[in-house]
Amino acid sequence: MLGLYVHIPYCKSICYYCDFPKRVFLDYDKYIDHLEKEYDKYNLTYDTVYIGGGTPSSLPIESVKRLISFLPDAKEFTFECNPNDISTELLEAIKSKVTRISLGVQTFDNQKLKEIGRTHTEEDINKSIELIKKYDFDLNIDMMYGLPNQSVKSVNDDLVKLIDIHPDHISYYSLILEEKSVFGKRQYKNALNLLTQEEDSALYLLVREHLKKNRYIHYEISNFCLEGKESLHNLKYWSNQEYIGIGMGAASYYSDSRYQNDLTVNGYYKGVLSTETITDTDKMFYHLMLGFRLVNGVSVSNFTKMFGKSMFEVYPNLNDLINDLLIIEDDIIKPTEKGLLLNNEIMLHLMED
Amino acid sequence: MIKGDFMKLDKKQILERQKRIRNFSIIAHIDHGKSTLADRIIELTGAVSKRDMKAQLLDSMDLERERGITIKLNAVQLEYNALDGETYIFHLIDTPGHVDFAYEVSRSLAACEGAVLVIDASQGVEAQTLANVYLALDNDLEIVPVINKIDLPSAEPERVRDEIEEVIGLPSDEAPLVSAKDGIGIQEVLEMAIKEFPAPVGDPDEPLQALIFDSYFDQYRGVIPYIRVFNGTIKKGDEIKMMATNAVFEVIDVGTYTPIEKKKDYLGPGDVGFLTASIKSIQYVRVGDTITGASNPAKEPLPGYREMKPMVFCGLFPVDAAKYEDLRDALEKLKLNDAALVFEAETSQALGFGFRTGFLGLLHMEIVQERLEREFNLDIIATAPSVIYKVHTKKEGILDIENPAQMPAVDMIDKIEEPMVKTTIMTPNDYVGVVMELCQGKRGIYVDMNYIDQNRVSLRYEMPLSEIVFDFFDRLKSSTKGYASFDYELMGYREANLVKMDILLNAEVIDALSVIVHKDFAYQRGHTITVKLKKAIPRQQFEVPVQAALGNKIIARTNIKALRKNVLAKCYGGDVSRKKKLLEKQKEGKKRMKAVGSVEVPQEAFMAVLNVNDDN
Repeated sequence: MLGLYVHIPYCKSICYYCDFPKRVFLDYDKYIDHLEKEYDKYNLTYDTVYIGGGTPSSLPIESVKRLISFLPDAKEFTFECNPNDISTELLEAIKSKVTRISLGVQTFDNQKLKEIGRTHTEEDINKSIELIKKYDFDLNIDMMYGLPNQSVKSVNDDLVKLIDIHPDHISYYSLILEEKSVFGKRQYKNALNLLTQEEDSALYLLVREHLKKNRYIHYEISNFCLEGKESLHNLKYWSNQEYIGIGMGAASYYSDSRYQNDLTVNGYYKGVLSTETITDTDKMFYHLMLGFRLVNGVSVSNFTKMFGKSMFEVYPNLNDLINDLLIIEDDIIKPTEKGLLLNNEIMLHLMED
Repeated sequence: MIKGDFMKLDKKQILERQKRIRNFSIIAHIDHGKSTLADRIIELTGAVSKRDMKAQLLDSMDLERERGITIKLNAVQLEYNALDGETYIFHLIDTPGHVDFAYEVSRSLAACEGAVLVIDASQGVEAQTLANVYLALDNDLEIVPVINKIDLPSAEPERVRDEIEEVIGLPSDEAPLVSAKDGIGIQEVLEMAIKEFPAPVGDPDEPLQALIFDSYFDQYRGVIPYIRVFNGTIKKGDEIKMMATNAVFEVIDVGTYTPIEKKKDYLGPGDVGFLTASIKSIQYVRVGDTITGASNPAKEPLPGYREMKPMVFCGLFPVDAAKYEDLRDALEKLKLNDAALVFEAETSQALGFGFRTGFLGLLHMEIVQERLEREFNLDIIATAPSVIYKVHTKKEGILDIENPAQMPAVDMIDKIEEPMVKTTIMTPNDYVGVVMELCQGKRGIYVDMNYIDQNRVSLRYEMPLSEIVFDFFDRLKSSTKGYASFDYELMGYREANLVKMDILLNAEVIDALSVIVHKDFAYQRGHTITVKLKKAIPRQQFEVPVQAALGNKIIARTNIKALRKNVLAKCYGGDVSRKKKLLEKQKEGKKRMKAVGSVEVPQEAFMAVLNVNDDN
């Protein structure tokens, strides 16, 4: 079945590393009007819903209620939040449909939080988790390593605190200098002391090690979970399945077409789209490009069943990568640890003539 | 020559018409309005309507195809009804403008008696203004200065008039004030041309002497020379001889471009036009050569002929080995219109099959490279430019080595001689020090210095050709704000303490990266090159040592660390399409790299071995 993504491009303040579509000023009612119209246009059924942003939790409670009311029930319904917005009022408003909360933490280090433009503190994080735990939500925590001038000790401290909380799901990313972010535009990029490739890969492996040691399953390049707690919605992306995205900048994959709403509010209201028609060749490519992000890779026989050809026939260069970036275990072909770090190299190699 | 049965040409008629001919070129600093003025003159006097003019300037090729007419704008014959009641015949000759092609510029100017010097009324006299004036003076041309762009609010014609007198030293009180854009003053320019430029001298009865100053290739009619007749006449059926090669041809047609091709009965002294003679190969049509009669040849050729020898060489290799034939075809096509381009097949251990290509200079090389990429859609790797060394070996005599990789082993070499050039650099006084420093840094030996006038100095240096092939011209221009100009002439070979420096990637010698350096500079160059290569070559899936070596001795070394991380951390709904595009872009980038041994090397790396000036 389809997944539904809902984009709320609203934030109270902008974090310095972020290049997602968002604004600090939004006419909530007008925006939700359009969301509802767009949703109704589709008339489809979904088994996962994901409300992302921006900071959906920063919407006024009335708007949150309105949003929740027209969106469908789903097996998994995720709502993205910032620690400062977590209140009994909010949690009460969403509990009827939301099954899963995704909390933007990034780090527990107050100094680092300030440096990256986050407006909450470690205390806020802890308070919000206490509240969340009173309810029956699954919890995901978003974390980041490689923050400007961050020490290895700081990362280790984060990991310890994270394990203490023991959320159901963890997304752990390295700080990327995005051109369209505040960091990207600043004059003193060099002062950020961004990670070298060696440091980055070392920290990545450190995080992975530590989480695995503590019962977390590493199931996608940047995603970890306790048993049975994978993000069902996101798995649709990585299994090259269809989904609908509504809202400014939201992307959809439906009916052999990948398309995205305009990245400006007015463009979105006008219905401006960018599209890519998906051919069978594209489907095969995406199947592997996305599938190899999963630690458990993809099934060889499934590929043949879906596309009528063996993946080794379609991509003869695959053979070069076996026992280097990829490994085969029975019917499964999956990335090695090196293959996780050099994931782009896999597809680049397949693209060579 | 077919005796007897030819058209009788009335000598009196020829001489009378000759008096009404004026041959000139338009010279100017860039963007001062040379092209616009040329357009206006052609519009006013040419045989083409204003509407067609616009079309032909932009799409002369299309026009040729669609309407089956030939239009050429390099040397145009125009008719002008002057104020004195006479009809004058102008030949307006266009000139290319870079020191690589200085010889061709000088031959085009040699075909003229005058030059119209265009100066922007708001910018005034600038660097190229002067350079062009000197070139015209060197060719004994009369110069008519013209002050253009008087339509601009910032125009200061009177100030510029003073500048012309004071800075150039030309009388300017009669210089016409012109707005080529608005069509003002054009007629005045032409009247001045009549008054100031002499009619061509020459005797139609003397043996034929016609100067070739340009040419082009026509797929049906062969190579077509542009000629200026100095003495004698030339007409259909004549048997002509190229004096530089003694090649003989029969003339099929002669004519001019108005700018439409127009066949004529004859071309006499002072005429500028073309001839067709089914000439298949460009080697017979050499710029600066003299065409004369086969049976009654002139005693001497016209002065100034020089063989256009390639001065700079580089290796050209297709990134995709399968495109070798395409590259060869492309080079052959380019050569049709470019006599100076030479090439021969070459094999490189590192780069496969390609061509060692010779050019007149660095700009020529860049133009050819760009045309190969744009017009012929070829991804090519060009190795560093080099020159021909004479290597005196112990056992094999003297070898001409162009390709550093072909250098014999050190113990087999007696001595190495390198080509030297005599350079003449003209610079304003202010920059003498800077120029001298530049030349000394290039192993230049000072010859002398002369004052051209109170503002300019002419410096002469003997320098190794290898030291100027890369960036001497650019550095000269940038350190003198564009005011300096230079010319160079091959002056023979001289022994020097030269060695071959090898570059190794991943412990393999990469022949395409080898360079020949002066021993004293080897360590420094080795260090610079390895550092540059480290920056230019992207991380591979393994660590790559980069080394510079003289024979077996490693003189510099650095390492390119292995690729550790190349992954997109987040890939959610909106990232999917974008990621595919990113991968495609990365793949395109890789395509432009050549697998050299086991390392993927981009084009920039091959040029990295040259960047001597980035030593700081």
